[in-house]
Amino acid sequence: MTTTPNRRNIRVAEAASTLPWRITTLTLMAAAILITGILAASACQGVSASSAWIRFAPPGTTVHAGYLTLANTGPSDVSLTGASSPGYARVEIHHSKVIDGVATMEKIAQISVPSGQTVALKPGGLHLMLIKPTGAQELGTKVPVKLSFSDGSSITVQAEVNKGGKPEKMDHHKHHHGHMHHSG
Amino acid sequence: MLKMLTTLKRNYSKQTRKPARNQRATSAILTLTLATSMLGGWITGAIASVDAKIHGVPQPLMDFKLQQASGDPFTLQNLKGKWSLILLGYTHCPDVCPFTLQNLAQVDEQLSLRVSPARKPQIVFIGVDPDRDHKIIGQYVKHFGDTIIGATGDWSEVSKAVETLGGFVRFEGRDKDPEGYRVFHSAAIAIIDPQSRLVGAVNPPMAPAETATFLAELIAKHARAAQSKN
Repeated sequence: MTTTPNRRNIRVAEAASTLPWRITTLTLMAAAILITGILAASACQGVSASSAWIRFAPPGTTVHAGYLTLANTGPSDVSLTGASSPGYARVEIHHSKVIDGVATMEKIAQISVPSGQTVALKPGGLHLMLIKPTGAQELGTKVPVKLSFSDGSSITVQAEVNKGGKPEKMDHHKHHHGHMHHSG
Repeated sequence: MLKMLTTLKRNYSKQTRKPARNQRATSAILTLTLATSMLGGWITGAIASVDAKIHGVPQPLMDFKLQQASGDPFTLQNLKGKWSLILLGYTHCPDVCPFTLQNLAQVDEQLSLRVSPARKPQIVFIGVDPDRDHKIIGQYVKHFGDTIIGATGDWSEVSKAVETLGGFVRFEGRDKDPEGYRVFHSAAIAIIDPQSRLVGAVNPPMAPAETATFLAELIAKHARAAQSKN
């Protein structure tokens, strides 16, 4: 019977001696959670881009088309307001439409990506018009394209030069996230 | 004769743009839909997704004189004795034209499995922006398929071809930007029969397999009609 209180005493003493450490650990954990939370929030606030590609265009052409998918997981609506690439003199946002059987293409100022929604830039619709390539296009290479958004943030995606018509690949998705960085 | 041709030209220009107003064209679509729906569920389903306008009576085309990238002429003669699918476009078009040409190349591939070589349509891309197209049209079309014919020419002849195909072209911002001006053009693919007559048109975006099935049916139907006449 005497052993039980002794053990209890030891436990209490142990607990007492570790109490400051526990508080520190808790504080650190809380801080870590808080930091992670902030980081996560900053990553999710706004838009992410995936499956970026540029059509492998016929030789001699000086305007190319780029496509990607924008997903807004943040709480507020964001718009794509501009793009640039070291591979091209200029990048514009365009919208192709067929109106009454006539193919038209107009330059637009922005593409709105409402909160919680995904907008696909794809052939025959919204696309990036990449003007005056700085070099010859090579199939399979990746071209950095910086996307600027209305909330002041920007993303750089690596757009693969390909022939199109391929379904979205998961490794593509991962790849682009890996190369993506937020700023602003 | 010339007056008659002009009237004819006006007629099918209207048909292509506003086919709903033309009873013959509408009834042809209905007949075709009925004919194809008898072939079975999956074909009907596939063809329902093809946006095509077929004229009640095929319309003869007027002549035009274009050049192929090889330097060979491309005139009405090149449309005789075989089916043709003609796309109007321009080489500085980064989105719609490459997308349509890529789809057409796939339609061509699919048609090889559905029709005999003699009935397989030739694919023609007419560059409607000759100033920028004439230098690169050859390599432009080759990029999408070795058998695609690229043709352009003097603007007066290009506009004749556009007109007779019931098409439309408009340049925008050419004065301000001589390099980067835009070209609005008919998106439809003209279907020409071996008698070099305009049979109808298919609108993009074209699902390659469904479009090939639709065209194979159309070609077979015309062959049956020609046989029953003899």
